Amino acid sequence: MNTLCYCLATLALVACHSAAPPPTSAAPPPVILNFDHLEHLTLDATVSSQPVRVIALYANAPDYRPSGSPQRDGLEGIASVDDAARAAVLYLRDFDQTGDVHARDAARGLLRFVASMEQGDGEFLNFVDTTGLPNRNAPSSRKSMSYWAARSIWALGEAHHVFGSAYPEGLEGLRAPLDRAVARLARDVNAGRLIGGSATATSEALLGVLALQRSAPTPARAELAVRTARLLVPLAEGTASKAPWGARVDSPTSTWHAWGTRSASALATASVVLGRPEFLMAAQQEADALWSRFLLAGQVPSDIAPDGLARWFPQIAYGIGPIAEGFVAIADATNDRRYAVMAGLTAAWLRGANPAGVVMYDEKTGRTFDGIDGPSATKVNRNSGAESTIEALLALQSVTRNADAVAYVQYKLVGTASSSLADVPTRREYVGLNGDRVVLERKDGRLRVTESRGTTGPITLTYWPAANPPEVKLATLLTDRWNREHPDVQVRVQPLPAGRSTEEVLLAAIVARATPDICSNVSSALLSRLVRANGVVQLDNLAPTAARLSERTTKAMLAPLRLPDGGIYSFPWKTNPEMLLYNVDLLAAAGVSPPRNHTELLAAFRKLARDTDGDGRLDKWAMWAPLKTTWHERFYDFYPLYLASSGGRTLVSNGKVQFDNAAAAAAVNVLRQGFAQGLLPKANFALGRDPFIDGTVAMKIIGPWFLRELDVLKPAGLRYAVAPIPSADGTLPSDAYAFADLRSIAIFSTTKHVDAAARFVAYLTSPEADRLLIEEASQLPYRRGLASDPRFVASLARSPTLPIYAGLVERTRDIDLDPDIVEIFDLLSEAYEAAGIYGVTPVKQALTKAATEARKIIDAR
Amino acid sequence: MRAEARAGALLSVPYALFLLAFAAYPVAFALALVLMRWDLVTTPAFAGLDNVQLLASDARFWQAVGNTFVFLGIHLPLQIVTALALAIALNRPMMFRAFWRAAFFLPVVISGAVVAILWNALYATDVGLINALLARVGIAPIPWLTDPSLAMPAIAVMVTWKNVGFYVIIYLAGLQYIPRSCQEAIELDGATAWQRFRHLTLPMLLPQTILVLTLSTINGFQLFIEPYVMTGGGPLRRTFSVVLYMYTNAFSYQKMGYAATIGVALAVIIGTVVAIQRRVVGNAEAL
Repeated sequence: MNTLCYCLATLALVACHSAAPPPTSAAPPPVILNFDHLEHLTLDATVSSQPVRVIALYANAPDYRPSGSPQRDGLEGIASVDDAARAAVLYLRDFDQTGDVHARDAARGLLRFVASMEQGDGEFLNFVDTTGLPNRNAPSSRKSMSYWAARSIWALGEAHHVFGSAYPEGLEGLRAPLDRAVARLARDVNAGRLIGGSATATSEALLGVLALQRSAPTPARAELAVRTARLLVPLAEGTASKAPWGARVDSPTSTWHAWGTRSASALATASVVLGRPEFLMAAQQEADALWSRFLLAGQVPSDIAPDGLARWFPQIAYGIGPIAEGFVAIADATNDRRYAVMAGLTAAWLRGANPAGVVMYDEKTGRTFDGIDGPSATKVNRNSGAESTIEALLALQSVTRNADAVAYVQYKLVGTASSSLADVPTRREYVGLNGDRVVLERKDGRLRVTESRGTTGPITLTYWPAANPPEVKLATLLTDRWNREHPDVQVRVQPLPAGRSTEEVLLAAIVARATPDICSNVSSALLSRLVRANGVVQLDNLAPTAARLSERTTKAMLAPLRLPDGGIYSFPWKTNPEMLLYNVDLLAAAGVSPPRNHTELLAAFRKLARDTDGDGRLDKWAMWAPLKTTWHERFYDFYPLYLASSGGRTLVSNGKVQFDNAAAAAAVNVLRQGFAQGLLPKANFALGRDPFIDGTVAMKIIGPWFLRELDVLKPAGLRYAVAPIPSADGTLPSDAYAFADLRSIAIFSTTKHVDAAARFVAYLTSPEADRLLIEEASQLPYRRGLASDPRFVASLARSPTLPIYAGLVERTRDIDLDPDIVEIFDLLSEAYEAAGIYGVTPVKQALTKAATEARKIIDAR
Repeated sequence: MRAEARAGALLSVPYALFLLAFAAYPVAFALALVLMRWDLVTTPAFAGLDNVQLLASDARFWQAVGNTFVFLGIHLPLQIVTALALAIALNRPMMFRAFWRAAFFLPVVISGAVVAILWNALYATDVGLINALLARVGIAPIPWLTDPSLAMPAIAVMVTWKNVGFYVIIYLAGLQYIPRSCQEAIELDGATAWQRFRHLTLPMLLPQTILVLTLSTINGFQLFIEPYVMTGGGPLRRTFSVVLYMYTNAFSYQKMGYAATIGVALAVIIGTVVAIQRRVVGNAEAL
C-alpha cells in the first residue's frame, strides 16, 4: 500500500494550507505615456495637394486650444516640420514597441507632411499656415539644410528602420526625399560644416542616418555617419575640472544650451551601430564631466557661458528631455547603470523634481507645461505647446524603457539646489516615494551611485534558478555582481532541487508557503495555475519590469503571454526555438537537402532509412520520434511540426480548443506515413544514448540548448547544421512558427519586497545579463531583434548555429497558458500515438476525439 | 492495576498519535476529498458527487483497471510458480546456499526506479541485452516495451523478478514447517518427486500460497513505478495502471479530488478482490 498511502498522505499534509497572501509592500507603478494632448494638437491639413497631419504649435492655458505662432514670432504659421518630425519619431517608436496601428497611422500622416516639405534638392521648409501653405519667408522656415531638415532626416530614417519590415507600404513616397536629404547632408558634412551651424541639428541628422543604416546597412552610409559623428566629437570644451566641463558647443565661444542637446545620444548610438567605441567615449565625456554636475547641483541650467556661468531659467522639457535621453543612450551602450540612474533623476524634473516642485508632465491629460520661466522658481508657464509635449514624451518613452532609469523618475532632490555650477557639492542625495535614497558622490574623479533603504535597512531576496550547471553558474555570476552594486538588496541564490520537476517543487513550495521571492524557471504549464492561486505578482504594472518588458519585447511577442485579464504575470526570460538539426554529411551522402515541406520530409525518410549491416533490417533512419505518450514528448515531433504550418495557432486560445485543424492533421499524417512504411524506428533506444550523436539518425528536432552537449559529445568530424521545421505543403512562410519552450521569471506573492524583486528581475533581463545568458548557457533571451542586435551579434557568433536559432525568437509559440494544458496535451499525445505511431485510428477521427474531450475538460471548470 | 492501565494507555499514545496523523487522518481526508474539487493551490471547492460520477463514466479509468487485471493475470501465477520453484530449489542442500538466497532477495531491497531503469536497458530494442542474446540465435529484435501486446507482459516479468525474493522467503519458511515425519512417510510409500510435491508440499504450503497471493494482489494493484519509468503508460495506454492514473491526475493535472476518488475506488477494488480470493482459496483450504 506504499504508493497509495504516500499519495493520500501527501494530499493530507498539504490540506491545511491555502493560497498565498498578498505582498506586503507596494512597488511604484510605471509612468504612463499619454498621447491625448498630442493628438489634441494634431490637425488634418493639405500640403502640396496631399492630405497630411500636422501638429499645432501652441496650446495655451486654460483651454489649451491648438493655435499657431503669435505676432511676436512673425506669424510663422500653425505647424512646423520641426515638431512634426519629432512627433513622428515618437509615434514610430511607439508603434515599434506596441504594434499599435493608431500610432503607426499617426506617424504616417506626419511623415507625409515632412516629406511634402522637401523641396526637391534635399532642403526643407519648416512652417505651414492654416491653409497648408508653406511659409517660405520667415527666417525660421526658409528652405535650407538646417534644424528642420535635420529633424526630417531623423524622422524619415527612423521610419525606414521601423516600417522597413513591419509596414513597408508606409514608406511610400518617403524614400526619394530622404535620399535627397541625405545627399544634401553629405555635402555639408564632407565640407566639414555642422548642419545649420548647430551641434543639435547635426546630432539629430546623425540619428536619422544611423536609423537608416540599421535598416539597410551600406558602407557609404556608414562612412557618412562616421564623418558626421567626427564633426561632433571635437566640439567638447573644457575638462572635468575646467569650465564649461566638456560641454559640446557649436563653437569655442558659443554658449552651451540645454535645448536639444542630443549629441551624446547620437554619439552613443553611433558607437553601437558603427562599432566605434571612440564615439561612446566622447559621449561619456560630456555626461561625466558636465551632466553629472547638473545632478550634483540639483538642477539643469538653461545655458552655460564659456566661462562656466550658468543661467538657470527658463527650464523647459526641450532642455531636460534630451539630457535624459542621452543618459539612457549611454547606459544602453555601456551597460553602466549609473547613467540609467542619472537618466531617471534627470527625467524626474517632469514629475515634480524641479525648482517649482510642480508636476510638469501630467499623466492624466498628456500635457507638459511649457516650463519654469524664472527668474523665480515659482513662475511656471502652464501653457502646453507641441515642443514641450513631444520632448517630454520622447524623454519618458526612452526612460520608461530602461528598467534602471524608470525607478528614479519619482525621486526628489534632498536639500537645496546649487546656484553655481562651478561650486557644486561632491555629494548629492535624492529620495524616493517610499523613503529609499540614492546618493551621487564624486570621489577620486569618478561619480559613484549608492542606494540605501528608507526605513527597513538592507533586505535579502531569495532567488531560485534552474539547477543545471550553466544556469547556476550564470545566476551566481549575475547575483554576485548585483550584490556588489546593491548592498541594500542582497540576493541569495538557491538552485531548484535537482531531479524533481520545477512544477513539482514550486507547487510544494506554494502549498507550504515557502516560495522564494523570485524563480527563473517557471514554465507556461504552471503559470496560469499560479496566477489563479494569486501565487505570483503581475509584472507589467511595476515600473522596473514594465520598462524592461517594453525595452525587450514587442506587443506581438507579449500577446500570447497575457492571461485572460490582460496581465503579464511572469517575465518571458529565455526561449529555445526548435529547429531541424541535421547531420550535414549523412544528408549529403544520401543526396538529401534539408526538407522544407512534408513531401520533402517523407522523401528524406525514404532516402535516409538504410540497412547498413546487411541483416535485412533497417538500422539507420532519417529521424527518431519519441514513442512515449507523456505530454512533453510531443515537443520533439508533433507540436513543432504542427506550429510550422499552423499560422500561429496553438492548442487552446482563450478557452477555445483549436487543434482539430488541417495543420495538426498534416503533422500527424506525415509521421503516420513514416511509421506505417517502416521508415521511422518504432523502437526505444537505450537510456543515455543519443541516436543523432552516434549517427543512427540523421535529423533531430531540438532547440539550441542541445548544442553545448552536442559539441562535447559528438564524435570528431560530425558536422551539423540547422534548418526550419518542415511545413505542410503549401504553407505560406508567414504561417510558419517555431515551438519554443519559454522559461519565465516570476515574483511570488509571498515576497515582502516587490519593488526590490522587480528591480532584480529587470536586472536579470538587462542586455548585459542577456549577453551572459547567450555566452554562458547557449540560450536565447526572449528579446526583439535579437539576431541583428549589435550588442549580441558577437556572442551569438560563438556558435555557428545559434544566430539561426536567434532569428526565430520573434516567431515562436510556447504551450498555452491554460490551467489544463497538460491534460489537454496528454489527450493530444494519445491521439497522435494512436493515429500517428500505431495507425490504429484515422487521423481526423483521433484529433476530433481529442478535441471533444479537451472541450469537456474546459467546460467542466 | 489502575496504574498499570494508565501506563499502558500512556505508552500507546505515541503510536496512536502516529496512526491518527499518518493513517486515519489521510484516509479521512482522502474520503473528504472525494467530494471536493481542488488543485493544490486554490481553496478546495465542494463538488458533490461529481468526481464519483466522472469516475463511473471515465473510460480511461476502467481501461486502467482492465490493464491492472491483465497485469495481475500474468504476474500472480508467474509470481507464485517462480517463488515456489526457487524456494524448493533453495531449500535443498547446495553450495553457497546463503549466497543464493541473498542474491534472489537483493532485488527486493533495490529501489523500484533503479530496477525499472535497469530493465529498461535490458529491454532496449537496439542494444538491450535480451535482444542481443536473441540475436545470437537468429531472432530479430523484439520491441518489448513499444509493442502494445508485449509491454504489459514485459513489465509483469520484471515485477515478478523484483519481488520474487520476498515470496521465496515466505515459501522457505513454510517449507521448514513441513513435518519431517510426513516427508519420510510419503517417501516410504514410494511416491515420486511430483507426487510428493503435489500431495504433500503443495497442500502444506497452502497458507503461504494464500499469503503470497494476497500480498501479490495488493502490490500488483499498486503497479506504478515500472510503467511510470519504463513506458509512461503506453503504448496505446496498455500499461496505464490505476495508480499511475491516480498519480497523473493528482500531480500532473492537479485534480486532487478526482485522484482521491480513484484512490478510494482502488482501495474498494483491492478489498473486494482480496475478499473474493480469501473466500475462494479459503474454501479450497477447508476442503
